[in-house]
Amino acid sequence: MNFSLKILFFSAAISLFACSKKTSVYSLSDSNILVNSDKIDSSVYKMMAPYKKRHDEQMYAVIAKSEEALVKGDLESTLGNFFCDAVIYETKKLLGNDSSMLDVAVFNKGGLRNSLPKGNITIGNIFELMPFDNEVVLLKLSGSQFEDMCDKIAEKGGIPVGGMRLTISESKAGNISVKGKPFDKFKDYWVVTSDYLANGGDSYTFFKNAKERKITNVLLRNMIINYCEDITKMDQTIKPQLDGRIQVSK
Amino acid sequence: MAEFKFQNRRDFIKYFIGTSAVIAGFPAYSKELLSARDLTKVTILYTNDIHSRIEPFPKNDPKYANQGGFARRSAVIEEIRKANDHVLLLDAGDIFQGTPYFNLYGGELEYKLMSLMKYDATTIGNHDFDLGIDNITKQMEHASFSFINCNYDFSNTSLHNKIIPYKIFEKQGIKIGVLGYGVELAGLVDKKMYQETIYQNPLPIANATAKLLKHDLMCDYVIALSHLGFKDDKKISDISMAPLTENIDLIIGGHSHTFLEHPVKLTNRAGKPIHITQVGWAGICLGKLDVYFSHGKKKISHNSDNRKI
Repeated sequence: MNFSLKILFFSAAISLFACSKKTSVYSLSDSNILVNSDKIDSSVYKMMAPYKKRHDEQMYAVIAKSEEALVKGDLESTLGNFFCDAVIYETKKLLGNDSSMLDVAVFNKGGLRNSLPKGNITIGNIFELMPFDNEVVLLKLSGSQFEDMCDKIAEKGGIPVGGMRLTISESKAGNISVKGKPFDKFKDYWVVTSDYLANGGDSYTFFKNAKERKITNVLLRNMIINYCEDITKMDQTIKPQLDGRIQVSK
Repeated sequence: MAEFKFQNRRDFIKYFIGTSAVIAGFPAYSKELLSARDLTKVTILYTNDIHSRIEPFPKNDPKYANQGGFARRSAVIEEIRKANDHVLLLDAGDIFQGTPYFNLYGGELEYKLMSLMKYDATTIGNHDFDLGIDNITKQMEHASFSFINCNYDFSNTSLHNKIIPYKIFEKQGIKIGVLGYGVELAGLVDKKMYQETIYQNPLPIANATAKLLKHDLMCDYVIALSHLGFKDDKKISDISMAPLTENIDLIIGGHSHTFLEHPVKLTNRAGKPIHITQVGWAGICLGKLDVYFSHGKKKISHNSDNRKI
């Protein structure tokens, strides 16, 4: 028997073996389990303990109070409105004498990673809302770029915005106003957003050709923490609200 | 990504919201019946998008109050291990990001606890890159489970040779092949984080890998750990890819945070059934699928959701 024949014989033996193998899937049974029982694995707790200690010391500091829970939603949301309004407030503070240059805040739903509870808001809550180390960026858009952005906002069925209002009709934006004034196609607008979105993240292509870009080196998360501390200093609480900034055209 | 909602829902596709536990599907067999019928039961446990949820959601969380947590999940898994001889514990990626534990420790605790819980394998999700690719490499020192992906080319990165395209797990002579693939990173993850990682279309690579596993390496069952997302109108997703595959039996999905009450059954390009499953996110739910393998000559196929290999 020559070598190639031997190989042939060998592979034939293998396939014969494969054919004689009777194993097959007989049936499937699925039963997902909700993880909410009181039983815990103490060895997990033991391993967690030193990590949890340092974590708790830093994260359980209360920095604000909210009248109601803040959650995500379609069109506009209490969470999105709070987030954008907070960023506008703190960005204006950052800009000081130039604060009037800022027009609007635009973010993405996917970037807001958790709800905020009613009652005490801790630093940990803000970390969960905004876990990414994204930085605040200012972009100057031309009127037509701004209009494109508004159409994308409409196409997405609304995203977190501040400083502007619009209505959605068949995935097109209408009745656009900025800081209470009707949108002017021949004017430039300054948008505050995150470096992630400014770089085209979440397919926000409309930011890519911005006319000008200002980086701040300020973490978005720190901005929200500062805002919470600022309003608490002024004896204010977070009052979640929907104000119709994005509506479906009637 | 938002939770996905079906427009036309069929009987076997149900979504649960929040608190309802679900038990369903096909009959479970006692140990006596298993041996009488010459069946072997392999229990596949799975999670996806754990997102650093080390502790349960706090009691005042508006959506998932007091749900999830590693210590509880570990207790559930331990109980299942006690009652079942052949258990596989898998994850479909995005272990990282979502609580301050990740910001403080970079994922070290997540990997350590998953090793303690004896996870067998995971795949790489987009958020696992959030502190950069070198952070994954660094934290892998704390992991005793496998990292499986076949559609990212890591050649010019620190993950070179640390990620395997597939792995075969043997349970009482039954060979379970596991492969993995991930979502396109451009536009989703900052390039400075994933660096020279090259994304490749998962479909041809997954099919080639599954064929290798099923035919050349004689696996009895092939599982894909997918971080593509359940459904996406613009990009390749589990729903759009599954009918174009061959030799994959089960897709354990992630990325879209989709709560599927039961696995969704589709037909692959060879006319064979393929199941897609996903259990939301944050470890709120532990996925469990018992697969019964028959060895005998008499193959009873009624009232079962089976396929011949």
